Amino acid sequence: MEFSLLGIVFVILEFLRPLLPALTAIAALEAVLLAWLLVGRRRARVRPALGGAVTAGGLAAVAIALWLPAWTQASLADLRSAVDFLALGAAAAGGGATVALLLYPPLQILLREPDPAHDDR
Amino acid sequence: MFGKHTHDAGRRHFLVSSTLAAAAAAGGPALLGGPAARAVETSARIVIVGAGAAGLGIAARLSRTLAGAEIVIVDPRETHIYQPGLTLVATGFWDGDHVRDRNARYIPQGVTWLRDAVAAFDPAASRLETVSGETLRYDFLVVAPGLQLDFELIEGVSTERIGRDGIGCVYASPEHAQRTWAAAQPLLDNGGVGLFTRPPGDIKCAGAPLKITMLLDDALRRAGNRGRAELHYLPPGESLFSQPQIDRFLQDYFPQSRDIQIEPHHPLTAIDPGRRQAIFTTPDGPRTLDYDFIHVVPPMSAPTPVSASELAWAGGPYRGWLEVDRHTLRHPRFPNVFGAGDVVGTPIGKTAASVKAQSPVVAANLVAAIQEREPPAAWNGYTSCPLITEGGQAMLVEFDFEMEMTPSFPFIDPFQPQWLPWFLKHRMLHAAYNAMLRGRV
Repeated sequence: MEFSLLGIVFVILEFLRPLLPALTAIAALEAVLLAWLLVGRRRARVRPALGGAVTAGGLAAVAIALWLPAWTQASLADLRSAVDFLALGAAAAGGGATVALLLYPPLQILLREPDPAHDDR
Repeated sequence: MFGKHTHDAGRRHFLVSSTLAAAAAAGGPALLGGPAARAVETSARIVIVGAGAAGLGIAARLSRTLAGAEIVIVDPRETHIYQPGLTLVATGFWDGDHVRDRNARYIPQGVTWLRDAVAAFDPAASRLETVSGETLRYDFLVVAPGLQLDFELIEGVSTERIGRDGIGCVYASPEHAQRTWAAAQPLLDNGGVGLFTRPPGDIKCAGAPLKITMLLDDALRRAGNRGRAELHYLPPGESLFSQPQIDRFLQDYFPQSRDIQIEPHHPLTAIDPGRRQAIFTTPDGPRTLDYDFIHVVPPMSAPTPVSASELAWAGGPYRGWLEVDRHTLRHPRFPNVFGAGDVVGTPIGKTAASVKAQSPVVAANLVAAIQEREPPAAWNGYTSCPLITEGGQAMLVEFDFEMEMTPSFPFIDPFQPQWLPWFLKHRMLHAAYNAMLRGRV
């Protein structure tokens, strides 16, 4: 049975349906933070913000990998094939990357410095 | 619906889906509910009998495709049951509320919902009578009422008995599935004899009796009482599963890996609940077996208004079920009638996965019929069974009319119990089902 790409998107949207208002609010907040970063007269500190986001994303990925089987009323012992571990790894990597992407804008805002070119003092 | 007990997704995909899902988040609500372009103008009156998985999915597709059509769904049921989840309710994984939904959430905009049941079909006159006495005329009819459970064909068994005297049944309703889990507790706590039956004839979700057997075996092992229990699987014939490779797998797996004894040619004919005895009609005559827990699967048939009408197969292996061309799902004698779901008389396919494959075929062929074109779509018999072997493990089995395996995800070995199919069953298939109800997959 073929699942078209759009069909898979609809399945995931149905899965997320109860969370869509919250997810939409988070996406809007992230957009505002990104816009603030882009127009703000502050010097970006890419490396520390990126490092923080990647570290948090990595921790989130580990947490997801440990938690996901239990979320299905199973345990890590139930993973028995390479496909199982690859699927769990992909889910954890995807979740971790999402957490990192979401955290980068606020971390950038928290860690940024005044841009000397726009310093009025 | 007719007064009796009627009811009725590799890694690349996942990663792509995750990315697209994130990208679509902002536009999600519009995607989920927004109208699509309507391509076909018509004044046709279309009556859809049944607001189950097939009826709702087809209604959604037709309502998006047709402009000007009058579409009526006939079904008295307010509650929509996610039936593929009943095995998880009956084995303690899910609560009954997990599978209850409301039909109102899925009736498409612009579609009329008549809360009534069909009493009789008159296909020669393109009309039907409802239980409340209303006559409905139609230009096109979609018959998708599900099937009925014939508990009365097993002496001593009724829905009221489910959950009492060690009797369980996963098929009747979420309440009965919950009672089944309660009825199994003494066996799980103390051990004893567990009997798992299957009736002759076509049944919906034919994998459910196997899943219940394996999940209760697993529950006994987790409780530390498997050594005190004796489990028997009693099919009416030789086979355990219609797909030959899976059948051979199970014929070895049950006795060798699970210590479940297979007793072929044992159709259940009666139960004496007081004595906890089950009577089977075997080739060697009646056989009585004592039990501590018995999982009863009633014979199943098309709803009486269908089986008693000219719409039904008059003979052959599918006698009484809705007659349709197995590929186009169009009635061969009444070309303005189509069918989908459990009611159709086809070799395989009484599963929600079959409905997922059937619904777009029926919608496309009905639209073609409106346009006086030949049916463009064909169902290949696709069906699927996430065969749960234990908590946390399942086999994703998919096949077609030719009994050929048709894996959606070729990297998932259908002969190996794995966690990934369990994950799909436990967390994703309900969403796929709901997307199907909205005509989106």
